[in-house]
Amino acid sequence: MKEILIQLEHCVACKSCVLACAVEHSESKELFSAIFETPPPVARIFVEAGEEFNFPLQCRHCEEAKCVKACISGALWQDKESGLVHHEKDKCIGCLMCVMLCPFGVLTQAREEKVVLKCDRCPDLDIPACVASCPTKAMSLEEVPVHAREKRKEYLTNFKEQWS
Amino acid sequence: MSYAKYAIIGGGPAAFSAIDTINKFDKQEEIALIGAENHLPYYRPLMPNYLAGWTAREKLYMRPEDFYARSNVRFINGKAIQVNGRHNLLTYEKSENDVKAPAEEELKFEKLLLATGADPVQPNIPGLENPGTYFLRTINDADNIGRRAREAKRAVMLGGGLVSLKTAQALQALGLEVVLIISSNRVFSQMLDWQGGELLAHHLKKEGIKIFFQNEADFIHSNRSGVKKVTLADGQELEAEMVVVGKGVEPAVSFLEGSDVEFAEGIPVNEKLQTNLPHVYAAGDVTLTQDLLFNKPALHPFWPKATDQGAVAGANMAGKELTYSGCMAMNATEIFGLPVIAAGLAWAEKEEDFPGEIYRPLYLDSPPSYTKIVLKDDRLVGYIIIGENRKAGILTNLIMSQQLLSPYRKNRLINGEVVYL
Ligand SMILES: Cc1cc2nc3c(=O)[nH]c(=O)nc-3n(C[C@H](O)[C@H](O)[C@H](O)COP(=O)(O)OP(=O)(O)OC[C@H]3O[C@@H](n4cnc5c(N)ncnc54)[C@H](O)[C@@H]3O)c2cc1C
Repeated sequence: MKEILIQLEHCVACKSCVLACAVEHSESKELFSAIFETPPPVARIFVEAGEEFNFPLQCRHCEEAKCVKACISGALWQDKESGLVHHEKDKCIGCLMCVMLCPFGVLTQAREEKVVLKCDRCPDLDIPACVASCPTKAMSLEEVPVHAREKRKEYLTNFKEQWS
Repeated sequence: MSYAKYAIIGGGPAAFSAIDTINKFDKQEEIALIGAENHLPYYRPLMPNYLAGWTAREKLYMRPEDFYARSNVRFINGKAIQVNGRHNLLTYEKSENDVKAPAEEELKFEKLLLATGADPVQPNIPGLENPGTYFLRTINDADNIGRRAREAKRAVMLGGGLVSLKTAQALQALGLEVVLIISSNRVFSQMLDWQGGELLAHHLKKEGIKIFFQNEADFIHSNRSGVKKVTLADGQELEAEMVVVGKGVEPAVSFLEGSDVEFAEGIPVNEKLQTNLPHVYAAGDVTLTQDLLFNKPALHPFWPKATDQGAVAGANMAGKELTYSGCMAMNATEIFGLPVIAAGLAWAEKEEDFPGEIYRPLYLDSPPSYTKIVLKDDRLVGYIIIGENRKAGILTNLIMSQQLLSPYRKNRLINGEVVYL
């Protein structure tokens, strides 16, 4: 099982990850044509500003994910093997129940399409676009032992522990 | 009489969350699922979308047909009419389609889950029994409303909650003129304060929905083809061919009448979701559970509570101890393109009525936007966000955890900005 690890002190808030994510989730997957697409491509990663640090944040693919339990249409589900939380756009009705419950605030809305959007870990890539694009290596994709639950939790919320 | 180690009465999210959890801990044993609706279980909240034609029927079902055999679930289409908990027995009436079998059957179980959900509240309005009046809770309701809507031109909706608003939107999409009759002074009065209600009502009116506040239906007039006209409390008469009632729900507990399972307005449960009988559990809309903000038992009929409770009940039934700490009022929706989320003591109006601090860092007519933050002792106890809302969940979880806000975080929050720590 792989997780995206975030190292707060390395982030310089350059937002390369945001751009890379939007491009990877565009029709063309090319920066220059993506800019002109309608609807405009939407990033599923966010650079957050804190009191002392900036840091990038995308879906943590939580164990016992609150968004999945909140989903009233069956659009969100969790793959038991990979642990990834998947979102099926054509089942989503944009009801916002998941947005109301996600403790990380990483589900975003595409208001024209009436759906939410979230990190899908870039299924077409070996390394997710955000991780690959980060110039300071603030993010890395790391193998986490499947059975080490505690360890996994640490990775999920790793930015919290570092903070306090 | 048949036997299953686990019996579940229901067929909504509480039941399925319990099934998944039981399967995780005790895969070998059979689960008998008794459901009164003559459909495989489906996503109830999709009913307005289904009615409007935005969600196809085959997208409604909670699980594929082969799920049941795979998961050791025997789905029994019937209505439980009696529970004899001390003797581990329940009686159900088989559904009418099943003419060959005897009308009543008994089931013996070791562990029972009551996940019967809720039924629409039936207001006492003369004429409500006539053809052309509806509730929206089930697929059958949606099909009936859809059929009538094909012929009707005007609909009167009673109630201003989430189900009414979504149904109003669906009926309008089907080409009907829709009038909402709301007894309180605002829409969504369970969740929104006056200002939030104003903003939302303005948006609905702009989309063509008519609203009468502080008014009621006094009489529903019908002729041979059904509803014709509604007389309101203030004497006005509204012509309409259909009436849809959305005045909230109440726990479906009537089948427990005369049983040894205790119930009040809902079924009281402990932290393990046990009823007064330790091997009989309850989960979902049917339960009375601890309200985290008011510290007393309350009904919170909404989806995430049903899935959470189903999982906890299922685990305990299968011998794995888990506890459920409680719940609070919250709701989210998108209506005519406008996102609305509210949680906790969102409706608190004035600081005088409430021992805390209320901030409204954002209030805009166009595009409709509103942020309200309610604090008590430097902890978040409620919020409303109308409009952009990605980080609403952070706020919900701050209320649930009752975490003390750092001065920095509080300061940003009362200025309408959500920061992580
Ligand atoms: C139109 C609509 C929109 C909604 N939108 C939202 C939303 O956006 N967000 C949200 O959080 N919630 C929403 N809800 C509420 C949500 O659907 C409920 O909270 C949820 O379904 C409760 O789940 P449950 O498992 O407790 O019971 P239910 O889903 O009510 O299922 C109970 C089942 O048990 C069956 N049953 C009852 N009595 C018996 C008996 N004696 N024998 C056999 N079977 C029986 C019933 O027929 C029913 O099928 C909506 C509801 C409706 C109707």
